[in-house]
Amino acid sequence: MTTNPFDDDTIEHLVLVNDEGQHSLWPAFAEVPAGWTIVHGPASRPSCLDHVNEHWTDMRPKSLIEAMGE
Amino acid sequence: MTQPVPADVLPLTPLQEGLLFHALYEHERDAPDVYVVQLVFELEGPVDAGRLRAAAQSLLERHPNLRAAFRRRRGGQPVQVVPRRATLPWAEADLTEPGIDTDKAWTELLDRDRERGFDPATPPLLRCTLVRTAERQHRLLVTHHHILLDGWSVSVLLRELLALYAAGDAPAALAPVPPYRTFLHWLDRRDRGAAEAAWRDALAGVTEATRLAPGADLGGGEPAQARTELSAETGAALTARARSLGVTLNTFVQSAWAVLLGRLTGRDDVVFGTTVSGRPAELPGVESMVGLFINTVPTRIRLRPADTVGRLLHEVQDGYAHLLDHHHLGLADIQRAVGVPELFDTLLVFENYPVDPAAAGDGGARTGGDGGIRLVGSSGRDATHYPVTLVALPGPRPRFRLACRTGLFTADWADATLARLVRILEAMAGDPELPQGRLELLAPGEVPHHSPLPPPATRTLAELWAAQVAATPQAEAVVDRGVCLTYGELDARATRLAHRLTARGAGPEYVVGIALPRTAELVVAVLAVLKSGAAYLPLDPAYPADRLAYIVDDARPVLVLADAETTGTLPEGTPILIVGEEMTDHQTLDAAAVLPLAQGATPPAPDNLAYITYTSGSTGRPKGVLATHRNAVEFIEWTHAAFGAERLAKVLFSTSLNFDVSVFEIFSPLLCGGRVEIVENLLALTDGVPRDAGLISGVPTVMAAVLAERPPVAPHTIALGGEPIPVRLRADIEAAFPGARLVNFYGPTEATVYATAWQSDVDPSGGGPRDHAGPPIGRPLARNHVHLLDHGLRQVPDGAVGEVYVAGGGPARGYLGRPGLTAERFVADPFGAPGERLYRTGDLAVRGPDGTLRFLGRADQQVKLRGFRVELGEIEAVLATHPAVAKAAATVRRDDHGEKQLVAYVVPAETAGRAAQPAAATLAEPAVSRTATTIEPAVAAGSAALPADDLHEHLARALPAHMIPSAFVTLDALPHTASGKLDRKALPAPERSRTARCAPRTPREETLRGVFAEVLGLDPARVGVHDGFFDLGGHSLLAPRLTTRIRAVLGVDVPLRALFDTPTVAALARRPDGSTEGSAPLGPLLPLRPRGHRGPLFCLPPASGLSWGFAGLARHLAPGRPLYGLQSRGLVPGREPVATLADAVAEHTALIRATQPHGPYHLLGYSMGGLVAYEVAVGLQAAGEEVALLALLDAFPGSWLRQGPAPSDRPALLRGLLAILGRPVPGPEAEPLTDVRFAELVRGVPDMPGSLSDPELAALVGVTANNRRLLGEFTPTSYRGDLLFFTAAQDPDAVPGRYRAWQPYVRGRIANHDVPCAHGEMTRPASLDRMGPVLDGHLAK
Repeated sequence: MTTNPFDDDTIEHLVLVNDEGQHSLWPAFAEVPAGWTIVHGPASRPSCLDHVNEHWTDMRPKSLIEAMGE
Repeated sequence: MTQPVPADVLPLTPLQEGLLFHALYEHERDAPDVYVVQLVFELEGPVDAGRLRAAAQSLLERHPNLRAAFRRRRGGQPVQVVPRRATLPWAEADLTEPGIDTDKAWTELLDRDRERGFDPATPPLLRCTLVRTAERQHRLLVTHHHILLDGWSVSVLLRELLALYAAGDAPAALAPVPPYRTFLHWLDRRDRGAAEAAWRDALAGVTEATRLAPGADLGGGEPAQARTELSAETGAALTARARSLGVTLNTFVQSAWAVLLGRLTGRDDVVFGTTVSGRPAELPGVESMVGLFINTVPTRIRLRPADTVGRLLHEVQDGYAHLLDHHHLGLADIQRAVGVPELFDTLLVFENYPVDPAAAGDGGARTGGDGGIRLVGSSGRDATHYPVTLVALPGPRPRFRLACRTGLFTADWADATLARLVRILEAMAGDPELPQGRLELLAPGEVPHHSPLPPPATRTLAELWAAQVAATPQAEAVVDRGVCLTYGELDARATRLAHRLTARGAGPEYVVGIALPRTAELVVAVLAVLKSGAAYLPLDPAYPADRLAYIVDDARPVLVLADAETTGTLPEGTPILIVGEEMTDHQTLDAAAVLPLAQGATPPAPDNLAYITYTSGSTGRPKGVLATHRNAVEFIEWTHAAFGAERLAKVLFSTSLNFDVSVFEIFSPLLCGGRVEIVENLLALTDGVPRDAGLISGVPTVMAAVLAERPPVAPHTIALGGEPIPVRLRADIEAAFPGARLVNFYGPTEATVYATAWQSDVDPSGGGPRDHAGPPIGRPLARNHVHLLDHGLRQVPDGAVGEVYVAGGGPARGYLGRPGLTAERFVADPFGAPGERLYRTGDLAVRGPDGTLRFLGRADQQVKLRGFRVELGEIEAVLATHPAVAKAAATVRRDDHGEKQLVAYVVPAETAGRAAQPAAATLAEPAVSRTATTIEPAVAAGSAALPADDLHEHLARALPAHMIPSAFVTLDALPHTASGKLDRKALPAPERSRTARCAPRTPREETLRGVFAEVLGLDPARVGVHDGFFDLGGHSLLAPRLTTRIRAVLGVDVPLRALFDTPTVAALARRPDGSTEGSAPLGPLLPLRPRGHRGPLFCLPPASGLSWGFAGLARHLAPGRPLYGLQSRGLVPGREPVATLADAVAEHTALIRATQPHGPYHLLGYSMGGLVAYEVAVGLQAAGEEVALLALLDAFPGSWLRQGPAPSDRPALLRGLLAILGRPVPGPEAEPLTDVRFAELVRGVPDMPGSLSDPELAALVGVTANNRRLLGEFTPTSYRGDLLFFTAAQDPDAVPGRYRAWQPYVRGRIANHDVPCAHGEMTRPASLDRMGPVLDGHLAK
């Protein structure tokens, strides 16, 4: 019945990253929320997901990584 | 030049038919007809009433169709009958007399007029009332039925009326106009096939209605109204934008309405009704014709938030233009062509008339000459039967009117909706490059308000536990089978184990698996892992080994805690630590001796992982949800605040560690001094042992099962989650545990245990006990916010459906080792603090005005079944790995009893290639193929069903039990929507018998099933142990083969008659070996298929009195249709045959009514049974009962006796009986047929008659002789109803058309079907193959 924009392969997406290094897929048509930076795109959804898989290798928030002394 | 117009009879347009239907329907239920239209014209100046009346009467003569009456022909076909003359009903009133409250009197006059309504059969359906309201002021009330006129015609009539008045009623003042009938003739010449194809194409893939008021019927009712007018600037901007884009204003309004509908219903593919002018440009003079030209057609608009407004507008405009030539097709025909019975519940009317009646007042309508009157205003009262109607009136300042049915919507809602429409229109006019998703619906003040969140948690589960141990060391902490551990004892054991873990390398961000049975040791292990700083990974040993292996491989635990038994469930090579060996592990003992308790471990931080929960994944792989201490602690602390230590003092730990609900059950009590009692699962409450449990938690389905057993517990809190709570369960809980608090939790694992809660005593506002929807899911809990978003990622207004996104403290860190998937589901939060994330659940919900959330289901295909989350994609992925499966689909559907069941569909590898053709057909004609797949057996011809057992086994190796489908259906191809996606709605329902199909449970059942399958020529997987032999396709001729095979394979004698008493694998397997007990099926009522919810079919036997032959009918009848045979009572040796035919009829009737007390009845009679059935039917009718089906098999009134053998001619009698029993009949030249020879011939065939004993055979012959005698008593009486007749067309005595002998007696239609067989062969399989489908079709009517 409906396609959520995050699941929609027919539209362009972005990859956003916040200060904690967390990544978010984001439909290109929507406004980018505050606190997030575009690091990839507009590009196809698979391309964005590839980017995430390649670059987000440690899913711990940056502040935790620092707190753990690494 | 008024000429007498000859009477005319005209057809109706499709919309007229619809309006007539509504008029008659409303009339029948005594409801006001919404299509009575009142128009009011304000006139200024001196009005000459006589002149105005004459002018109005001239209109009736000028336009014959205004005089039409609407009637039905005898055949039901509606027509409009135009009489030669009709006088316009005219009334005058003066409301200016002293003492009259003009306004009040006017309103009363309007109401009275409206109540008067119209009788469609009494012309004219038009009347005028001239009302004087002030000096030089009149109102002309024109009341008509919508079936006569559309709005455009009204403006034409008004113009004509004023012209005629001005000309002093000189009809010549008006140019002649083509009559309405020319339009009707034009309509008749349209290419319906082309139109149907065009609509089918335009609506391809639409499978359900777009509804603003789901569940509401279409009907009248006083509407609530809202009106608005655009500013002149917006009007100008819209006009300019429309012109620059090359689209119409109508397109603008349609597009904006579509966007609004999409947002309000949560759909990206919407359909609404549109009223089209229906005036074909090719018809000369059509613009000045009068009548009902308009039509209601569907407008389907697909919304893509990423597409620009400009693109949407062009698509809508193109779609409209493309269908313009097909606007004439009736809505009912369109819906039929598309295969969707109802497409919309909202209507958009764009009133684009050449002359706007209101605008006509601007001087243009001043009548010339002396005494001219001026039209200074107009208003009207009309409505539609749709719950919501939007009327748009173009102009320099476009106006909108929204009418919605009160009871479904409020005036406030109408106001807010119009305001949203205006906002969308303004934004669309402002920037055509704007993505649709950025169109804002809400005014700044309308954005749902979220209360500020409490500060984040600062402590870990381990810290809170340590504090609690220090506070209540002696308090009871865990009860396990009557043995209790205090907080101090539990902590000591956990600490010892934690040391061993630390020694083996556990610490923060490391993962330790727990594969332990449900004992106190499990709680020890959980605490120990947390104390070590690591995160625990539940590995419930009850899970399939394949799945555990997958999880171990995916999560890579540094260690798994197991015991001697559970070690075996883990894959080889797993690093295992056996618990309970602390005392023998000297190394650890030493370490523990050296180090103080709880030291040596690195304490975790709130952001460190606490546990990992694996959930099903739509990608086909389970995924590990990473929950942090902060996530868990915030939830636990909320439970402490919401429930208090009191309610958490005695909690049942009943949920598997694999589900994060166990976090609630363990930590909520243990972190506030409460006690946890471990049970195997919630069903343990039904073991009869009284338990002291204050809070029990679980899923509603299981709770319902527990309640049914009246468990000896008295909880004060019932916490349910995982699936909606049915109304019934809520009532049952209130009855079982009066005063207890019911909590309805909602939330996915990704948002940590639960995200929202509703509590019956705290928040009773959310629906009373009798609320038909069940309790709501309440409000966000802990540090959570819930946003309901549309597909543009904008918040939906209260009351609209939105997808649930959870923000705040609940969302977990993500999925273990799945950054891509995490980035898809845990996404940037546009509403929170900078850099925060939302978890998108894929669930749908609606928020009420009080802020209470109501769960509506899944947005995608993930579903819940009995509280378990089931990812259909995962089942499909595993199924597809089976070597014999090319493609697979899974779906959850409701069976005949409304129960949800999981059904799998497979396309065998071998047929996948050649199935390309049917798949394409499905694409082109979704409606047709959907119907076909439902009716046809689910297994398409050509592909053998894949063995369900095999598939079952394959799935069970990888999936937990709750994800194993209960039915498997083999298809040639999977149905697809036009866009190529799997069309889940088009997947056929599994056959009913198949859904209940149970696999054999014992070797004996297995063997018997094999024999059933062999004899019936079926795949064993298609034979369930509870399926009846006759339901599976067996018939009386196959029965002896079955018993013979059973004897050969099992060495057991199963008498044929046993097949009637116990026709299933399960029942036959239960029979004692060699048992021949059980009376022969010679009783008066033979239950051939006793179960089912449909009306039964009763079959009356031929003269033999035996109904066995009807057994073969079972497989032709729809599942759920019971089938009974009636038999003559004398068949049982020693019982007297009935004395008279009347007695026989009375006895059969009594048996039928004992089985089915009231009609409608379905009767079938064969040969003599036909005559009895006829009499039974007549008797039932006389008793006031309905007979829905009377089917006769080669039974004729009158000359029967002369055709058949006389009762005294015994050899002839025996010959006839042999024929009926399917035996070779010796010719007349053979030796005389004696009783002995007869018995030999009957026994010569090892079937059921062949198994009759001597006394039984003698009784059979006696009954036959007696029945022959009774036949002579038959005198047909009158029967009201249709007769379904089957003629044995190849009988040597057959006379073509003989069935017509019934016609003098039957007041109804006789439908005959010839069956190519002899009279005695009508219950043979080949004959039943012919008759069965016809019968089933008639039964389904």
